[in-house]
Amino acid sequence: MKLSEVLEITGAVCVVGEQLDAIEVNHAFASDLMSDVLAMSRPDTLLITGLTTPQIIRTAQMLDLPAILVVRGKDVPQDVADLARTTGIVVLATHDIMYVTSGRLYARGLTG
Amino acid sequence: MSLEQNVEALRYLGLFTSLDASSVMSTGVHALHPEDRVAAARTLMREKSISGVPIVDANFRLVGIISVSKIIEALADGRLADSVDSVMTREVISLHAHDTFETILSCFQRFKFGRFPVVEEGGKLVGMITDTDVLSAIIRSFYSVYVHDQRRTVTIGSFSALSKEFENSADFAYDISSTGLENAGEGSARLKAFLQSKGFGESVVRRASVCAYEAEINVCIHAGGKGSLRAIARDGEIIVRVEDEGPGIENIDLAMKEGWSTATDAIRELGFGAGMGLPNIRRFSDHLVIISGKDKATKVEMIFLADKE
Repeated sequence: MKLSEVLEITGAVCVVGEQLDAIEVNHAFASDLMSDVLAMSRPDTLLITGLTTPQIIRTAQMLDLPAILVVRGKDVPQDVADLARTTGIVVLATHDIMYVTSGRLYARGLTG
Repeated sequence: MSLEQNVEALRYLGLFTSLDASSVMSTGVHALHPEDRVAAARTLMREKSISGVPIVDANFRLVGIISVSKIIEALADGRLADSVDSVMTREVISLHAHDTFETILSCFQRFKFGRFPVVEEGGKLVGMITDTDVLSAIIRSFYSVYVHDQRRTVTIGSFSALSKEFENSADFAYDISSTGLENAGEGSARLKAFLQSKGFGESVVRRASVCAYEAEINVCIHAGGKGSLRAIARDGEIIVRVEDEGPGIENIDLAMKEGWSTATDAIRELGFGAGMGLPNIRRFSDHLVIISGKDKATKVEMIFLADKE
């Protein structure tokens, strides 16, 4: 699924990143526990999380995850956005809760 | 095996580097004063099943030692009623509380005594070390080591727990210095870039980065954010070593269990401390050695093999 489709399906906005129709994700993982995210270790995965610490960017960076979708309407702090920009990771944000967001994406074929 | 070989073997094992005389010694020491009678020394040895008694002055400073052979001599000479002072050995070979395990071992090999008094600054007696204490310390040390190995056939030939290469230099070095979790991951990000520049494959770089990151997070959560992250990357093998100065892991077996953690709620709110750090490291590394203990430095060494791809 292209990130541009993710944006459309979840009603999210793009906080950091461009050319969203050129980036593809094949899986998604929803969690606020970064160690659980690290445990799954699959590169072409969209990380769905309610955390907005620099660690979400670091976690994505270690795992080669292309994008993070921040849920529950959390503001992404400037330093986190800056880190995402430097490391080339796309950050999207939606007001929906994790469950709803995951359900919408799952229903459209982005499975775990 | 010669003394030199034994000491070299110990260094090579790297297991006993955190043991010093104060952690090996027995502390409930029975001592006598110079004015006590030889008969009292004989009674003490028999009752406590010990083969030597240290002699101390009023300030508990070590002034001599009396052994079984001295008691036998005194018995033969009919001097049991004399003072300990008249028969004790004054030139005592003692250890210092900070002496290393290698020093203790070489003392036993060189002097062939069954026991050595341990003193601190000023010569005050703080403990005794017998060969039983040394053995107990060695056994205790094994409880503070965790080894996980998927390439046993390769390592079984050598008996090294930690890689010797780090003694000289590392291909990559980063000082971990973080007050909170804010900078955690900086070192691992740099390590990742370094490994990519060395031409290692995507998968092995990812495994090494994730493990380094978990270890770096652990230093930030548990060790006050002070430590080092080093790596040696050559011949299709990545060795990553993360070290800190403590407070150490009290029970490594528990720490290896998924979901077990001593992290605070504040750390959990940041997405860590869920007890997955070390289990993750074990999952993604091909060889893992952890050496730690309560109030000890922690050394985590992980090896990643590129040809596993």
